Amino acid sequence: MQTFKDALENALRLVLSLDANVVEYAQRTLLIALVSTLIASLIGIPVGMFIAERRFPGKRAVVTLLNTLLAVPTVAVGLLVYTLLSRNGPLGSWELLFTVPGIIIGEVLLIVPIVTAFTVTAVARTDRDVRKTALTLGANSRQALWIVFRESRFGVLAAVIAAFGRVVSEVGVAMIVGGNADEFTRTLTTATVQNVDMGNFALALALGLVLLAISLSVNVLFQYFQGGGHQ
Amino acid sequence: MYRLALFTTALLFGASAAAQEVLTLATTTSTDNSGLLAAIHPDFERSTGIRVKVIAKGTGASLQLGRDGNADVVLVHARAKEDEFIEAGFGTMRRDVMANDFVVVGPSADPAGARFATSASGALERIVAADHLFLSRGDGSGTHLKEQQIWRHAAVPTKTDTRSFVAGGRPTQFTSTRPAKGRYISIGQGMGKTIIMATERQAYTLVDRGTYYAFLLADPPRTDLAVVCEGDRMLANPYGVIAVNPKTHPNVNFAAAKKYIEWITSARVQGMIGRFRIDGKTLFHPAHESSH
Amino acid sequence: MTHRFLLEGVVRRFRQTRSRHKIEALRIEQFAVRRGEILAVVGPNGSGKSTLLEAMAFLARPDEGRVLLDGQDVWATGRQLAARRRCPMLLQKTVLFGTSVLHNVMYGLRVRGMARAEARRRALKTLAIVGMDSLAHRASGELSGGQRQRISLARLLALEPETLLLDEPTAHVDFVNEQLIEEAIRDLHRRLGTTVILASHNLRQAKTLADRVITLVDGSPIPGTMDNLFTGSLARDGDEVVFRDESGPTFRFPPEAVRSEEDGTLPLDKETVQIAIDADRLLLEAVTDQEQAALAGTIASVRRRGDRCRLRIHFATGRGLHAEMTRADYGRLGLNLDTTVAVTFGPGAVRVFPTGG
Repeated sequence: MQTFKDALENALRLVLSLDANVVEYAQRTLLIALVSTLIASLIGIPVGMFIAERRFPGKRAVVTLLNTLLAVPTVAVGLLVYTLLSRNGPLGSWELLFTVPGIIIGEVLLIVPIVTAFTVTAVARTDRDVRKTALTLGANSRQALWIVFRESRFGVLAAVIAAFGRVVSEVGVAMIVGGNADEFTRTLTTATVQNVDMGNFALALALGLVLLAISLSVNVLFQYFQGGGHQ
Repeated sequence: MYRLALFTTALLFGASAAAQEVLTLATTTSTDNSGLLAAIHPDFERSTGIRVKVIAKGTGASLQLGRDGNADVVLVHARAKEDEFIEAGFGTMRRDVMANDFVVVGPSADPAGARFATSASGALERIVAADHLFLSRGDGSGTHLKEQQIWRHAAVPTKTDTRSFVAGGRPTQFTSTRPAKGRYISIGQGMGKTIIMATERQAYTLVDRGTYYAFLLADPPRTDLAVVCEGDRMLANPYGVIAVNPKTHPNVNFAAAKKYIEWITSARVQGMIGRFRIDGKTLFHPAHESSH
Repeated sequence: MTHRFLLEGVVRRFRQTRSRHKIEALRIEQFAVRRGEILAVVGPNGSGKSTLLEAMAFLARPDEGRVLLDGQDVWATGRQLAARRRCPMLLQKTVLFGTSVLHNVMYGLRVRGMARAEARRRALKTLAIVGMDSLAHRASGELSGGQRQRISLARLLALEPETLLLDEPTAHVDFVNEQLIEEAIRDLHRRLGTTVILASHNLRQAKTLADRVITLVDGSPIPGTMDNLFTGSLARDGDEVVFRDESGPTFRFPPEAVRSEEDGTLPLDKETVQIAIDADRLLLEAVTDQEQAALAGTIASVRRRGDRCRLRIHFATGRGLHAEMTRADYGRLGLNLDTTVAVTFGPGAVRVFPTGG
């Protein structure tokens, strides 16, 4: 049996020697996170700004719903997307089950509420007075919207980073929708789970270390931008 | 820039060239965890240009992937379930591929004295009698089905758990047999996880020889459990390959599945399976060894 | 057409927090602002000063009525963006954008489509006027409260507007900044003849800056000037109603002088109420001996305008009251600068407003 110290030593060796598997999973994970965060931002930021800016009936219910969706378990999203993408599911003809684009669909569903809800908070925090000030200075409504966005940019960026971090660290969607197929859909988290299952703790730990490094960097960025861009 | 685009496409679609044909194989964790597939699949890719996407689950889950049309071909080890699958029209072209056998493993000191039993069922009887912990995969896998078969032959009272759920729009029942007394934990995990847990808890469990060797002979070893029962005819573990029926699921890649079945049962690949060893130990016996 | 603004039947309602009920914040039958005048709007907190200014800044369409700018019904003709750009407003709450000081001042010019270089030149010039050119490249977050207020004013001055709306321009700044800001407003008015509308609860400021002062109460201008505003508490002593505040004089009002704006009952023994003593309804009488009168002071200043005149009465306690009367009455009563007068409160002279509304 392997001691923790041995495992840690081997893990560090794997990371430092840029083990081909570790690098491949890290690249795939980052790509999935980047693409899904990009898509989710393109959806979530405008929707969040709309919700924060406009008054409409049921607004409070929508915000409550968004905040509830923040807590949806990843496996629930994974299962939902699995059922949709399964060949006998409604989107079966797309043939995206067990593919990276399939995972991205799941991750986007998972993080759109995060981007949206955090954007609503960030914009609502700045909105009223900034918008009004811009209007008194002669901005048209488009210009006013833009300055509101600019003034809440750190909060919005924090939303995007939080979403990115969520994708990197989650395992439910990646495992259920991706299926952990080697060379196709294996990510840092699914590979970690699999290697724990196989008792390959050194590799699992190496993957865990990479995950930790990514999460840590993401968190530092998040804190930085949450604090308004200055420490 | 072009290289970056190519690289991105490769990562996105999991292929070195975006348009490469892919075959989805649903198989058991035991074949995947032993390292056998990783050893032989490059040959298939070289000779056919088709890449194999391996989704490793239990036998039950793998057959379900076939039933839903989410896999093109399945490689499993539970003959009764396989026949059911084919009769229901989900599978076709079943071939025997190979066999290994199950072993009962437990703490090397063998506190239950299972080593002295003359049969697999006898070994389990002793474990119950000694009130020692037994771990069951409990996931409807081939190994789990085999374990239940042994319990039914053992001279210990058993009970049946039934869970009802809906699968593919039909109400389905999942029944499992387990001893009515003794310390028995059903964990609902794959083969690897079960060995790890059994090792941690120093429990007895049923494991296929391939996965057991892969864990025992790893460097450093990932288990210190010892074989306490082997060789009983009931412990035989034949693997079969089945193409998912294109009549039921027209979308499946039947042509590739057919090629895969022909390839894995070919004399050359059967020889490769027979030669696959971990630390000099043969893990799988090819089904067509003598006939070719 | 000498009116810059003409408001007719303007009503604005707001939804109360956590309620479906709407309250009326502004109701203006008719109200005009002459071109080139400096007008001060005073009144108790929540009397609708900001809402009135926002209506003239075209920030939101009134629920009823029309707002004419130079004779044109702005909302009816859909020209609100152009109108808003002609009537920039300093909001009560100072918000600087999270960029440099210079970019803040350039903002209004840039949204009007002015080229960057030209906007930059104008902004730097304006910063020099408010004495802030040395801070042009600072981040707005690094400024003090007074500096922030000067920058937010500079943002408007850079536009060289023909109309300027100022909501409490010196509410939260120290004396030096207050002087600087007032001087900048005067300078703009002198140079460009800008029409300035100023909401303030600083009566000294309203008096010294403005050509005309109007008083808003409950969203409507009230006749006469009612600029003797005090904040304190009311109590009853026998028949009399006694007003006290922290620093100023104690006033004792006869019961018929006091009317409550709410529902007729007086908010007695409340923490804070606001009272306004109508300068038109003070009764003055020249006396030779201060001891004879319950409340007596001396006439510290007299301003004559048209057929009316406006007095400032100083009390020994340090505070004072404004009184207004016709010049005929002034002469008839034999008043003069430094005359000692006994002050009594006529019927309905004192209005009481519960604060926080």
